[in-house]
Amino acid sequence: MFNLYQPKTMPLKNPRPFICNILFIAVLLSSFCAKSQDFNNYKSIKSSGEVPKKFLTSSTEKYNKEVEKLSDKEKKRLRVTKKQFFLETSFIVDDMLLSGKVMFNDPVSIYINKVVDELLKDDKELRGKVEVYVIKSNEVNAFTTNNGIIFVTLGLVAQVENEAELAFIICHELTHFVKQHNLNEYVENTNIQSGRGSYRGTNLDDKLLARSNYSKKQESEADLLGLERFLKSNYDPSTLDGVFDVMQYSHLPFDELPYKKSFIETSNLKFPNAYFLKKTKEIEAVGNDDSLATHPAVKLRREAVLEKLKGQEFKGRKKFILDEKEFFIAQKLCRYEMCNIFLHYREYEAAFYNCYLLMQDEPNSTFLKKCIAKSLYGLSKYANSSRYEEAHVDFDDIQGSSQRVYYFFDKMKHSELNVLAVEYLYSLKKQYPEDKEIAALTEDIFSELPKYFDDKSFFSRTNRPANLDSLIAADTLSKIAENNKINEGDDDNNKEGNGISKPVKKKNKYEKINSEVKKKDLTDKNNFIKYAFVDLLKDTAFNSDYNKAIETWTERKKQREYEETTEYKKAKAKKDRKEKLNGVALGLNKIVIVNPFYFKVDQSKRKNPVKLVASENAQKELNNEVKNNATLAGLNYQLIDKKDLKPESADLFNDLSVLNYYIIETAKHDDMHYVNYMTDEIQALTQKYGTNYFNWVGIVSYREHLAGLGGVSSTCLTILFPPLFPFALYNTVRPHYNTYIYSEVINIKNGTTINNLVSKIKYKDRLDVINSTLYDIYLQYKKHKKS
Amino acid sequence: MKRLILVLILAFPLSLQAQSPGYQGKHFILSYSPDINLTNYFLGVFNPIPHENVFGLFLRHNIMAEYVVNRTLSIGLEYTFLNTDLGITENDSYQYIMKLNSGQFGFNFIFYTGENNPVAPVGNYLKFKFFVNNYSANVVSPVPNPIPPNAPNPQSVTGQNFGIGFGFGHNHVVANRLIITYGGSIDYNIDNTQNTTVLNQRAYEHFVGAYLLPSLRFGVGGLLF
Repeated sequence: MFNLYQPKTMPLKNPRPFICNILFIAVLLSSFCAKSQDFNNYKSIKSSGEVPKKFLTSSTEKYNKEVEKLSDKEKKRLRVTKKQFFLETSFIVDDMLLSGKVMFNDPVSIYINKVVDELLKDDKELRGKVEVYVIKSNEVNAFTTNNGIIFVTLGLVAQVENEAELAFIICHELTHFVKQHNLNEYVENTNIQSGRGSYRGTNLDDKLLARSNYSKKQESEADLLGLERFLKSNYDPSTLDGVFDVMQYSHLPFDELPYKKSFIETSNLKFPNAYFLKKTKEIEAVGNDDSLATHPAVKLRREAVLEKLKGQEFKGRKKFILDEKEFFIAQKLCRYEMCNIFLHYREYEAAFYNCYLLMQDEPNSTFLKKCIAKSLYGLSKYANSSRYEEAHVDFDDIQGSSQRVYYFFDKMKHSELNVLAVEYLYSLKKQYPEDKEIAALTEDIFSELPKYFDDKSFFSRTNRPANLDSLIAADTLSKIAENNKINEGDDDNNKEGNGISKPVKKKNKYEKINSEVKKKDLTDKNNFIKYAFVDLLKDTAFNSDYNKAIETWTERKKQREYEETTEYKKAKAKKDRKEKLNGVALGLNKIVIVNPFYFKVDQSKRKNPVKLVASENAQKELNNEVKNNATLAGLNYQLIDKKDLKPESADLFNDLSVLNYYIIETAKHDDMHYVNYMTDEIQALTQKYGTNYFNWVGIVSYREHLAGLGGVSSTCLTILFPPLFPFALYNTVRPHYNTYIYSEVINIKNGTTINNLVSKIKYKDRLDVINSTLYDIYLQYKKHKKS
Repeated sequence: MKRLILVLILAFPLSLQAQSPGYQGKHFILSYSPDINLTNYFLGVFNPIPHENVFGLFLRHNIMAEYVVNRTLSIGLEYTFLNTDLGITENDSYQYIMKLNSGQFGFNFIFYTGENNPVAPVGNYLKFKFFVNNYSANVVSPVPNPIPPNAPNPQSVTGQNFGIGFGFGHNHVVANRLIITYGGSIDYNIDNTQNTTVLNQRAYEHFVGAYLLPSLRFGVGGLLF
């Protein structure tokens, strides 16, 4: 089968040359497009071309192939351990490949594969065994599987400084593959864990140490043998020092640039100086403590590599063998893509700073502006939902220049954050009136502004006074003075050295209240946030939208109050009862069923409770049952499954990737209404599939370890009624099962979960149970509400 | 009045107008199950006639038509008949053979239970039954011969009574058409016997006893439409 990564001299053995040619052209085009990526309107990088064979083969098939390779001469115990390793890795790696996080034939993977081509140009046999894919992750990492897949994270490509550094990391990973380090480590760890051979009688601490030492030994070997391979190429070894710098400072953003106060401010919205950290935390290198770690200390690794290079001359070697531009384009793509990844993982402050760094070169990038808007939106949404700690990182945990950003969002009040988000988004909306994503974000965050400011008149229509800073400073001083006065009234603060209280006049109740009112007036008068909308309030549309937001907020408030009434609770209980009897009637014209899943878990198997092969087989059957029942229910559906990929289904792979990210993000936001950060891509999917409704369905079948209390209690009951003993005994010894059938339908266009069903059945995952439940589910989706 | 109640009971599911899923759209089940009566097995009320009642058990034959109303409820009409010989010991000295026949019409409410989402007719169920019995108990011949001089003449008794029943069980669908059901039940006959002879009274009590204690059920049926 045609594969982009095959050496050029290898003959193409493809029975469908026409399709291959088209795919080849598509790959070339995608490569060309990468070079011409418009960073102003950056579009997320995607997989393209022919889907590699490794993505198409089932995990069970891969496992069986690996097992076939095992030699009969090996000891039975070793064979068992290796079989277990192949079983676990086949499934884990496939999970990763099909998770949507891995990309193939994307511009970055294509570039890295070119570097691999260069490194292995004299070792075509090895080149034929190795495939490199990029993972959408901001971690700085690369790793290898036993079957020759090297995964490189976007975070790593974003951080390395040149092609030679990347080449060394690949050489390191190639050694892991050639020496089959993963397999050897698994076998060794199993021996350590089981106390076999020389590990007999070792305690837990010694076992942990032994595991760590073995892993470190392999890493050192990968460094040194990787270096040998690296030196055979024409890459410049003087760059290797930089590789270890990348490792040591991988916890920092890709650049160190002081965050400027003015970045997010406007002429009227200026934040107090107190919101900005004057001195940021010193940067500390990581990875120098290797006690019980899997990798040796970076310092030691650096020394070992540099020691090998000592005394050697490397004239004429290059940092870039390929076109230098290609590296920087790949790096820039990764840095841009990181914005999306940060948003996905709700690291809004990191996304904000990442955009800040990228905007130094592209200050007018629409994509970056939108990312900043999404960061502010995310932070504000979480703050408004009293879940701020889920999205906000404590500034104390951050080092370097980016700490100022974390500090800024730490000091800001939730109301101020909401105002900032509305101001930024609304201004952006005015700039890009046609952008539906910006419009949706703006509308949503605007609707929450009346939570803090339900009276528009709070905001000033006149420009911010030039001396506001000094007024705020004076206000702060006066507040401090007030506080001191109040504290003087406290007994604890009023004692002299000998512990006798000073005779001071205490404030009475009314003086204290008046003092608080006065303080509030002063604060309101000098509140910097009231000048946030000076420019926007001149706009009729903004005023009208603000009025609409107040109306929406008032309606929501009324609805919340109504939901507290007995009348509503009774009506809801009645509705729930009716739904339990007859289900719901969603009246969906079409749904897209995404990646049905099936897990068979056997708790009686303590070591490996998940039955991987059985689960995969059951999943295939489930697909058939889903199709049968949806058809029987008369539902118009389309089933898209990562396990049904064909060589030409790169588009489907990308769609599933988007949907996978979408569902994970939706789960994180829980019941919060949230405009997804991938709104544009989601809108495209709704148009492509002709429906807004996407269904995630799956089964978990669970066998309990013991019968539990039910079995014991029924046995005890037989004391009272002995004839029931045989039944009680059977109940005690028989395996107990639970089956959970999940189904969720989401309107991905507006992010609303319209149905979420978890059916718990207290027996085995029988076909009739699955069929009746699936049919019931799809009938509910199909049924129309009675008029 | 009885007819009115029957009509109301039959009209009840139709009035619900439920769009129940049934089993893949099939709502109507016809099933047969032999009910194994445990009365004598556990308590030895009767002296079983060996060639009639193997292992001291005797069977009632149950035919039921069930309609799935909604996800938790189905209703059923059933006919249960019994035709067996029992031995009755009189004064520890001689025995009569009594032929027991009954035909029971029952109306069932079957509630399918589940943790949170039961889908009738699959899975565990609880059954509540109202029934009417037509029965006859004929004492046909005393054994051993000769008949003691004080023994009453063979007599027969017929009658009708009402009763209620409770059952539980589990349904399992095979090949999307065949339904296998198993469970147990207890019926309670409401005694409405008038003054009868001692023997007839005893025969009736035995009849009631035959229904009162638990019976086990293992049946098969078809999902028709």
